Amino acid sequence: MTDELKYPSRYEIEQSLTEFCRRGFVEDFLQNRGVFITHATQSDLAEFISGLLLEHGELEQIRNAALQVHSRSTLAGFLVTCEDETFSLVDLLDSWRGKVVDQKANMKLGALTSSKQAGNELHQGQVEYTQRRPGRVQFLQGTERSFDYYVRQEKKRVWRVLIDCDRSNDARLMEDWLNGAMPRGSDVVTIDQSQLTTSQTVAFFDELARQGTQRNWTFTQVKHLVLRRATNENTDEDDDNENANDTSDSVQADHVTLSGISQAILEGDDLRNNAFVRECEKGGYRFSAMTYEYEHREHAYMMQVRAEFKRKPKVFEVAIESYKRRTGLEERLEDATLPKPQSIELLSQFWAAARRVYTDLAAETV
Amino acid sequence: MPEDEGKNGNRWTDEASVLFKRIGWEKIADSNIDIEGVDGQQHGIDSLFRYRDGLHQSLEGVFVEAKRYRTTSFNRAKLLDWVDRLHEKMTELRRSGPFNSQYPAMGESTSRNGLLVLWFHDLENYPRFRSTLTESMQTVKTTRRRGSIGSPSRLFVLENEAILRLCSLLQAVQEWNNTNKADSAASGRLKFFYPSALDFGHPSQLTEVLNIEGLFSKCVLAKSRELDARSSQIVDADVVFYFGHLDLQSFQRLRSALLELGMAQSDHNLYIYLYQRDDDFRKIEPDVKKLFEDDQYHKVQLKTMDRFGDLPSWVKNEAGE
Repeated sequence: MTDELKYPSRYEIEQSLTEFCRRGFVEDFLQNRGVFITHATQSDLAEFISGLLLEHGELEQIRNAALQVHSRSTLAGFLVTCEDETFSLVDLLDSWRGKVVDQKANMKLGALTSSKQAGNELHQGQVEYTQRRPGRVQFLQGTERSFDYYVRQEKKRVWRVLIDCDRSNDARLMEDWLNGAMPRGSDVVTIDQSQLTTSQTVAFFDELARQGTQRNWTFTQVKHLVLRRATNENTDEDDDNENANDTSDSVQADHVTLSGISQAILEGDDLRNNAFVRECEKGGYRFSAMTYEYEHREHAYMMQVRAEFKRKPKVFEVAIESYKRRTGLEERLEDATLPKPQSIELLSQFWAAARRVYTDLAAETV
Repeated sequence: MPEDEGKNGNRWTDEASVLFKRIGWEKIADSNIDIEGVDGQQHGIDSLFRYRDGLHQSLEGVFVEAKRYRTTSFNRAKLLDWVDRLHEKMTELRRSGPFNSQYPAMGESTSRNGLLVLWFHDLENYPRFRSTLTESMQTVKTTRRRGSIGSPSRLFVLENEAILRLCSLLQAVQEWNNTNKADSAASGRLKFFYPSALDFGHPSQLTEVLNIEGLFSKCVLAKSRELDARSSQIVDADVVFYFGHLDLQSFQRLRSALLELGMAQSDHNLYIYLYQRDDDFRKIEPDVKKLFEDDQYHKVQLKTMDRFGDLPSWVKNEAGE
């Protein structure tokens, strides 16, 4: 039996949930099962869960949450610029193929394949690395991981690099390495929330609802909105476990607020004038994540896209939360499968739109 | 009327009580109690139970509220209200003088558990309704911080799916006990197994009481004895009631759980009762069996639990007695 299929001890389950998972995940895990524990610390909640006999799928859910493995495709990325006209990012990446580029993470670059899409060349590559084991919990031991990345030249001297992240850290791994590997006069730029004011962040999420997808998808409503209290954005600490023990710094908008916000976006009203948004701004809260719902104009498909600023500095990532199809006379919503290339394409468009909106807003500040 | 507050409502309170008595919980108070809380107000509660927990070695008191409802009349606000009100009643009663003197058995227990047993009786609508219920459960906000005003409470919602799963478990237990009844000397009654716990400092336990965690677990462990027909010897039997998925990885994990929790013992008979149905399971069944046979059990058998679409007749009959 492989170690990965070993049933963890109660202590390991408790530690994984207390030390490596967000409190929100632990609460959701219980509430989905109809369990609500009041006046409890995260460790109290973890202790209850460790007393349950869990099945394989449930343990995997905990493990993935603790290792910050996304359950669905999440795209994050950055732009690479270089003053030197003779420089080619694709050639640089190709020259490193098959080599270990970072000893600490045992990070290795795989082959780079190129294809033409709508007249543009798209390059796809893979990175393998070893995830270090957090703490001494055997249940969360180090694992071999990999992620795909996509490179497209946007214009002269500018490349867009998008990472199909299994974990939020994947994009940073690539970014950190490239920062060191690039020649003098080059730069790696992300969509960084600290470059936006609180009110610009509102405008960013507001605009994204309309510009995030192409014409065949219509925005219908905002499904979730998370706000976080603004903290010192310049701290460069690793916050994979951000708020692991404390969620008092974040709030989620309730149903009534969400319908007000959806309405404002649909009617093209500036979200910055919304009463709830103003109240939050006054209280020192900033938008940190929004889940949009879109409906396909021609086919009976619906999808939810989550856009989020994660980690410190707050870097933007985007994921498809759900993809459903209406079926039958009752138009019941059923899960549908979105093939990987299509989901990457949708997310790439979304990210590119986010980058456009961000650039326009950040230019206002200057 | 959305909620059956009359005869049908009382009937459901009695039916739910049948289930809890069957898992070894002691009923402390008759149905529908009104009693004064710390706030001087009267608080009504459907029933009170107590059980000795084999996992924590504690006496657990449970406030039970039974609701019989139509899916079409349910909404999120209802659930929030029910959970809030149950919590409020528990907070008021737990330290109330009249309550503790009238029910000293609750006073001796932790009195920290509130159980909302929801039965949606329009069964034809239930499958479609289930996702609405799950979404509603996610929106319940509980007071987070320890030390904030109010006592720590564990609140649970048990609804159709979990209730019917419990019925299946009880049916299998009943059948096991009936089969082995003839052999009273072997003490063939099934007992639930609780692993030893280093952190609580106590050894493993065998008891006929199922704790509240068991109602929310994907697997319930038990032990018993049976007469081996071939050798006429009394043989120990390890019994697993498994509600999880039927793929090979899940069984590998289950096997590891039996070893990790000190449940597995060579030379015992091992019975695994499966709850889920999956046509593809037949393809891997021999591999699953072999997986456990490699652990040198005397005999390994995979059995199927009955699944119910409605409350089984014995629940209704016993409630009417």
